[in-house]
Amino acid sequence: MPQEDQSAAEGLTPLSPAVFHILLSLGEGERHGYALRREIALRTGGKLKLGPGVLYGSLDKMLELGLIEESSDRPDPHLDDERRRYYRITPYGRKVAQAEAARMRELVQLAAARFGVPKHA
Amino acid sequence: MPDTPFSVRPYRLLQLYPAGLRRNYAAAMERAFRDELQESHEALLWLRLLADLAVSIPPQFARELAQDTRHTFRLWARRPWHTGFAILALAIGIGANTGVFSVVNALLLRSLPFHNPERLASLSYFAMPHDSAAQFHAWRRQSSYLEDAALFEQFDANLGGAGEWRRAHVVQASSNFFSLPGAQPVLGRGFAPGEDVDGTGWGLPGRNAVAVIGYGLWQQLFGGDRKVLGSTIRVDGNPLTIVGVAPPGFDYPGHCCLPPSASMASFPTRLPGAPMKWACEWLSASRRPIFG
Repeated sequence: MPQEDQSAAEGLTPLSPAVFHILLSLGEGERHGYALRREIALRTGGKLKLGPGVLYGSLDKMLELGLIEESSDRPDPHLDDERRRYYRITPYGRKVAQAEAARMRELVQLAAARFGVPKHA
Repeated sequence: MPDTPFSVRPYRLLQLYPAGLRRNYAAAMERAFRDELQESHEALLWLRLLADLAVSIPPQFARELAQDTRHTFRLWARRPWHTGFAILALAIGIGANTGVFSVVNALLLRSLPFHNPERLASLSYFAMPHDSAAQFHAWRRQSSYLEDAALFEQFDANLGGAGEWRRAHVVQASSNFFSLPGAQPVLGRGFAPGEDVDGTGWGLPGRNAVAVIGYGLWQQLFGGDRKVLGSTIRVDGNPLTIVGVAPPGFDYPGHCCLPPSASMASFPTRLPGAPMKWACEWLSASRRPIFG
């Protein structure tokens, strides 16, 4: 990773929970907005339910920052609503997600050293 | 949209979002809302939706504002001459408007800070009996056309007080100068009836060598100190005791006011109902025995 990209990626951290979860979901493959919302709610046990405003506001911001891009690939129109817009993560988005994960890992290590981490947290 | 279900219609709250976001995502957001409507209880859904609107709208507007601001500054930087002329035109326009409004406000909108300002008139180049204070006061009391009259003369003088000297606008006035227009000093008092000075002197210390200072001067020279009463101020070297502070907005005195005898102008008020024309005619007639 070139030094410039690395520092630019670190410059965007800390990410909001919504943005990080969207990156996590898109890391697995392309998704449309509503699928992202459902997946995030499932992953967090319903603790993070993104409303349409927060979800599409975050997607718009992430598109502007170049973290994600719109995918032109569409599933069969018989299987899905053709008006849906699909998104995928960019290489830069991956770097930002990695930088955020590294930041969180350092934080977790620090917390573990200070307080210990319960086995079934 | 008569076929729109009631549950979806309120989602027109989407109109609250900035146009850019609406253009790109309104259909997707509405679709997401419809999907969710099929899965959740409607009331709960609306609560979540309103919370979502409250959380997401301000950052969207802030982002749009930041984008517009960046775009604006880039345009300005690209065309510095156009920008300069636009700013200059705006500055001139705002300045001119402010100036015109100040004049309109002072002349038309705000009334004078005097009691019954519509009955006040200022006469210049008119000499009424003023050989002595007693003569002037007798003249104004026997007037049947003027309810009252006061004398004042303005000039610039060297003013000193609290160790600082400055050139200031000074008014010498008859003792009824404050009582006539109903002006109440904010601190201390106006002039007392016996404080008129005959001749061209400055009065006797401890008796009638007194002054009322303007509100602005009180703030600038004495820092608004309420202990200013009784302190000495020097006008062209002559010590005067400060007995009061004029109210803010009372333009006479500009800075300082002294009880005088000499006068260049009068400050009469008409009797209620007496037209200005009659009063002027009477004053013209009354000049004859004085100068005749």
